[in-house]
Amino acid sequence: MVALLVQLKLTLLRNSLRRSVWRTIGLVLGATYALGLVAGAYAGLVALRWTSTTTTAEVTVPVYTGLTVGWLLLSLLVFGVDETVDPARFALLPVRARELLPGLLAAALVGVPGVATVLVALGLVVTWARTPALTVAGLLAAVLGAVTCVLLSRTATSAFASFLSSRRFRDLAAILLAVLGAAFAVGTNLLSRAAEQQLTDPVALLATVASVASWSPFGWAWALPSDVARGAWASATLHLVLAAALVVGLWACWTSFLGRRLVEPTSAGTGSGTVRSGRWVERLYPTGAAGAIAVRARSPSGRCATGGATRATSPPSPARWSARSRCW
Amino acid sequence: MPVAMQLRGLVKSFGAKRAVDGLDLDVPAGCLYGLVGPNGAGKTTTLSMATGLLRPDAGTARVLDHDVWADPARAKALMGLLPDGLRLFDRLSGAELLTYVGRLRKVPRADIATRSAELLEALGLTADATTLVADYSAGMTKKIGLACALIHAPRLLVLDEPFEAVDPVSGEGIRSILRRYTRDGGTVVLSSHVMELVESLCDSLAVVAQGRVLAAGPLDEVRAGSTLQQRFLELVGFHAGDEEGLSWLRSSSS
Repeated sequence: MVALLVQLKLTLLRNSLRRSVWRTIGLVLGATYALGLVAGAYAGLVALRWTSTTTTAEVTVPVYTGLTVGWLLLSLLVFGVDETVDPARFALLPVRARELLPGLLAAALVGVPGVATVLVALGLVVTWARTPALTVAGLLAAVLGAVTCVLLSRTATSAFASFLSSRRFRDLAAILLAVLGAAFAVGTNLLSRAAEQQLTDPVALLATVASVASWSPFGWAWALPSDVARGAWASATLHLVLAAALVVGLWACWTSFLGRRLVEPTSAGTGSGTVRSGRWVERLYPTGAAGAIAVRARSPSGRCATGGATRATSPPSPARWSARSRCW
Repeated sequence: MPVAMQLRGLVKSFGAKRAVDGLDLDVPAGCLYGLVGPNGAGKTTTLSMATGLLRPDAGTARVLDHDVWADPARAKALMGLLPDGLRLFDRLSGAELLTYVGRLRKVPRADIATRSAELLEALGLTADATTLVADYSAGMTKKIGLACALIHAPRLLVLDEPFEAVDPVSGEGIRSILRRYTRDGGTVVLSSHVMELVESLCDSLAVVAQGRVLAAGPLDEVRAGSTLQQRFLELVGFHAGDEEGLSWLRSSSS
């Protein structure tokens, strides 16, 4: 089933590329961009090997936590429901949620953002591979962290599937993104100015941020190697247990949402002329507010020139059987 | 005669509206069964609940001796479904879609190849086998949906408005497929609001209105000497002759 769903996703991607030359260009550009980001990340990660484990921890934990938060926010705000392998489309088939789940998870990793995330996550091993114990911790963190990213975004989008595809939310999302982007810009500006002018120990600030991030659900997995490096075994165990529990919990939630969707396929965005935004072309943009704004900026309506073709041209299939399942 | 689909006391409400209101239905095996009713009669809702696509508020649905809601996936494995306006993987070509549906339904690979070629041929889609389903017309989408419903050789086919948007030639093709399918022991349940079609195609039917079955049984029994159209209008209580309203629609001589 996993191989089949990954194959399905690849076929769907290939077909959408074949359909529009712009999407091919978009993919190439996006892949190049992502490759640049990954290369940059690796350069930084390798450079960190020459610093202390403390510095490595204080840099990697907040950055990777940001990656996880980015997956959650962007999948909710920009990507909406990934329709490539939309669970509702399996409703006619005799498949069970628990059979489908591993395959959908793997399929979610197929694509530029998925591959980039996996590569960046594995980069954690590169920077932490200083002792055997740290290597193992880094690998565990990479796997748990990457899986958490995908599960978090899938669970959240499944939970809000019908809500996310509503036009009202799409409009709201544009505003939220703008606010988020503005906040990000202002925030970085303020921070850099504070760092420049006052030079009030940015290292201490970083340490605080790292410690807060490591105890947020988004950072549980990523904090594992830093605990091991410090020899804080209790903290490491706790982080490992919490991260694993998060994965298991998200897995269970997603299974439940998926199961519900298979017997009550809420039709995503039917009828009301939902403004649909491009899916994975948008994912080619960096996982961050800047990328989100870049995606949005391509068109004020949220339907972008190239990516918009993805969904805009898909016929609004008002699945009557499923449309009825929405409550009104 | 064994029963292919048995619905008992099905109820479904959408807000204050009771779409299906204690509906009972028995579909004998091996027959072409029509479900007719005016718009909003609850046909689609009934079929959704009978096929594991919409959980009923009350009542039971059994298909081929399986309780649908005890294990929807198992029940779906036994049936071929064609909902109206179904969601497919429309970024696949017709042939690819059939292959993936077949593989997801665990049909042996060799069978998928022969069956999909035959189905595409029978439905006149061979020339468009490599076209993306997203680029299909409404009628072609219907036909590829029917092919998907048949790929695993189910014993029960449930089709919601299978002839809507289908041209007369393809319509005849679908009819002959359905007739042959029932002759070979399969059961078809289809909904329609075209009386002539049901009259010419189905062996038995049920008239549904306001979420209830008004009449059910073999075609001749239900129409009782009259035409189905006439009988249907009587059953749903249509008052002909009311031509007073809409007078503004009369085209004036000027």
